[in-house]
Amino acid sequence: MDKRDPFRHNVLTSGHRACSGCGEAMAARMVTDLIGPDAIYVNATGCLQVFTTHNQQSAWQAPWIHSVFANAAAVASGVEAALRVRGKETPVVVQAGDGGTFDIGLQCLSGMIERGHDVLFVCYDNEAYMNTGVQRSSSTPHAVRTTTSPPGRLSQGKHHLKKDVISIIAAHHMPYAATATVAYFSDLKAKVEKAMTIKGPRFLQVLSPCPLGWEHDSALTVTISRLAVETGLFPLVELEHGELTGAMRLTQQQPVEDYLRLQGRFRHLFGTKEGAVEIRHLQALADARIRRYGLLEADAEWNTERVPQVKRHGHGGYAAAPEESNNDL
Amino acid sequence: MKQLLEGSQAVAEAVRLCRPQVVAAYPITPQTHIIERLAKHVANGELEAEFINAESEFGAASIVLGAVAAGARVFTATASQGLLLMTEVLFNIAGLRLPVVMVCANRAVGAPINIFSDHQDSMTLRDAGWIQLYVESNQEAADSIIQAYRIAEACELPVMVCIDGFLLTHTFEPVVLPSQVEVDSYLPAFQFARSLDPARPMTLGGGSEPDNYQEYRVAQHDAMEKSQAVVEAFDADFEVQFGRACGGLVQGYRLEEAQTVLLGMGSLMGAVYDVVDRLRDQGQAVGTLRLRCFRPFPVQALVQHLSSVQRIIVLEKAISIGAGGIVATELRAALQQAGIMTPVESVIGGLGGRDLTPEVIEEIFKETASSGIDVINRFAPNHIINGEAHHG
Amino acid sequence: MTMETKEGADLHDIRLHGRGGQGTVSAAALLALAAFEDGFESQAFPKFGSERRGAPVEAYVRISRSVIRAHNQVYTPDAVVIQDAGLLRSEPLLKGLNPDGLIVMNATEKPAGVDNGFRWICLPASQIGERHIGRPLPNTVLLGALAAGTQWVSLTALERAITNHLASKGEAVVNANIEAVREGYLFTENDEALIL
Repeated sequence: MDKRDPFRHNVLTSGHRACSGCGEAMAARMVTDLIGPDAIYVNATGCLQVFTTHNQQSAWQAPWIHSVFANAAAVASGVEAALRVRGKETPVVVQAGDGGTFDIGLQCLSGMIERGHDVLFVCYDNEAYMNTGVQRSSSTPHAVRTTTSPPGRLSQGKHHLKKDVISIIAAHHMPYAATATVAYFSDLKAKVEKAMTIKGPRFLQVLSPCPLGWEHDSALTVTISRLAVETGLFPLVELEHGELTGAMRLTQQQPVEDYLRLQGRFRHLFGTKEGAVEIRHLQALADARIRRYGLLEADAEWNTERVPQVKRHGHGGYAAAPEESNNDL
Repeated sequence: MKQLLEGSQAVAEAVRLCRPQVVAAYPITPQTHIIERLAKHVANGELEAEFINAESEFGAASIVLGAVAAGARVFTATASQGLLLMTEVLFNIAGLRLPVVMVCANRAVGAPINIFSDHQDSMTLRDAGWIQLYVESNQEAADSIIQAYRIAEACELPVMVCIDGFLLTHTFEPVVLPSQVEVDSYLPAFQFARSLDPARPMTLGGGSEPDNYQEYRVAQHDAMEKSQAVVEAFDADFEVQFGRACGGLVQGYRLEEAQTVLLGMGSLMGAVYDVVDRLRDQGQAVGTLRLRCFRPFPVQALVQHLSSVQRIIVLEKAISIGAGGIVATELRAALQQAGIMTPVESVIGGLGGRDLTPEVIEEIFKETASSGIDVINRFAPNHIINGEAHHG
Repeated sequence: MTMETKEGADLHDIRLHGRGGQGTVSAAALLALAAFEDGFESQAFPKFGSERRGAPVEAYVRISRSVIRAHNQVYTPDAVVIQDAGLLRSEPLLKGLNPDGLIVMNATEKPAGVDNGFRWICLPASQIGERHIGRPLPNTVLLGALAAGTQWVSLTALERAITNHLASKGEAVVNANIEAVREGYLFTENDEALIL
């Protein structure tokens, strides 16, 4: 009999050392409370790992393992395989930052997906290597200042575009890949719960603003998260077996500048000719993403065809089991 | 002109003065300040180089391998987990006899994950075929990088300059940086005879079989042995040009009539010098020998300095699990081969960044068999203040 | 290469306490730079480890007449600079402070219940800093106070250190910090600071 009180027992408990306003801590608390303590969590090296397990202390009230930076998805594959062999149903969840997903972690992640492991991989995307002091990752949007993509006489910040990882993941034609962010809790909740009903490799990219690295007021984490979506820079979508099956429609599009102005990492773009060009680039990117996913089309007919999904037994977490409305096929 | 510089800054400036053409790196504590400075220099046009943010350390090592093979002078830096992730490529670079210069910002290796300084990372790569230099100060860090390029390019062997993470990389202390003119005079432009070039096509990295593989290794080993003389000669040249030296292969301090000598590497030496002075003031015949060049292992130089000493202590910041002290073991073998049967006390300490204070070092000198401990193989004592252990 | 034998003990060890974002590490660097400007040997380093915004931060400075060779932690400082008095409640800020040690603190009064024979200099460094820098940054103000209270470094050297070290932040920031360090110095020298 599980004595843990679902209203008081957090998987990620208090006393960890995240910065004030940390979007990743917020996202991790949401995600792990939705999944619950009856899961095995595999964490990549990064902010979440560091601030929750500093020096012989741990904020985790669930089984949790950290190995090295690159291999969380591979370690999770091993955990999952062992559980299968041992006849156990415990869900396996990976938590990684953008570094451990987009860059150093990509090889193992692709392998895990290609082999079809029944693992949910959650990427908390704060768009740089924050734990080591804000160096750029391939998730860093272009024109952003980081310590390894500094603006200077010859540079406007990061040269290259933010890697479209959700498309890379979806191109594996894997059961479920979705984007989410902290400002839209209901959406995140629905996606976590949906992911937990599906068997096979699943992926969530949760945009997690970082007050330190994005240089914004720590009280604005949710505001900035919302603006990322409302500008179209970070579309909230779902892709199943490579097909787009859901997208959060925008009631209106906010100008990208409103988002950029709140963050010091874009400060160098304001007031120069070159900077203005990059702001226009970013706006164009946002416009392109809105067009691509049809985010403003009120009448868009979504592909609501039921995509066949293999169901998991159980769902984990305290949330009520979602309606058995899918998988009529 | 002397300036107060953070170690990372001294390193980055020294690298810049050596005119690398391709810099590739992946961030890892405590190397980050080095690569951040270089990124800034490139962004401002102060360093004309390709600055490549690699997707991992494995990538970074591979990028510099390709770049040097294509005839460019390169630089990368890493530590700990990153160095180990590069391992396969580092063996490859050495086997291909590519003159790469890398800084290892010495840091402990997980698990358990630890960001503080010890020598486990570079020690783990001791068989890879890289020359390894261990510096004791920010000044020597800057100077050794400049020397490293010259050594690497002359010997066609990669060089790892080992600089204690945090203790040196994040510490501000006085450094004299040479001028561009001076460095250009000491370090000629990079000319690689075996670079990939359609004008004289070569195959790099082909296969080998039992009938020829050993000869590659013999040649590599031979080149490493010969590089000892090069390391010494280029340090001597450096002294002539810049007015200061780095200690060559090994560097003694107060060895005159020393009956006890402690051997160590890296930034821990500072505290050892202070303790040696203190003990000498008390009339004890102690001295210390710094091992600057660990690979190649300078057997002759070590034997020469230690042949008439009664007591030898090795203090090192790494451990071969299941075997014990690494430097101590190699020193024992070297001395025994030379017929010197003086026992070598192996002391392992400073692991994971634990502070080797003057008090701890003095205690190490004091510990003898009569203290009831196994002096031949032991761990360093802790630093105790008012009955409480302080680890730093 | 001949090694210098150490001629005298380290003159002064200083430990600085603050919260992430208050410029504690920068202050340590500036103090070491100032000592260097004054012709001393010096060394500065942060408490090593990852920093979190808002979390407690420590940094250390050694000032000496002879070359500083050792790279060990500072365990017994001669002075402690406290940038955030609130830290006294949760952190052992005075640990290891030498019996006749000095505390320079960002506060208008000495905290109650701390009566251990140390010397105190208290001044409203955040307010002073805000007036010049535009943000409640106490670090350079406190360095000025430390210099006035100890004469371990000169005000001129601090100003030169600020000019060099903060140059990349622009002239306005440099000037603001020079004003701040001056006021911290004069505030203390003119006994406007609470000196106990």
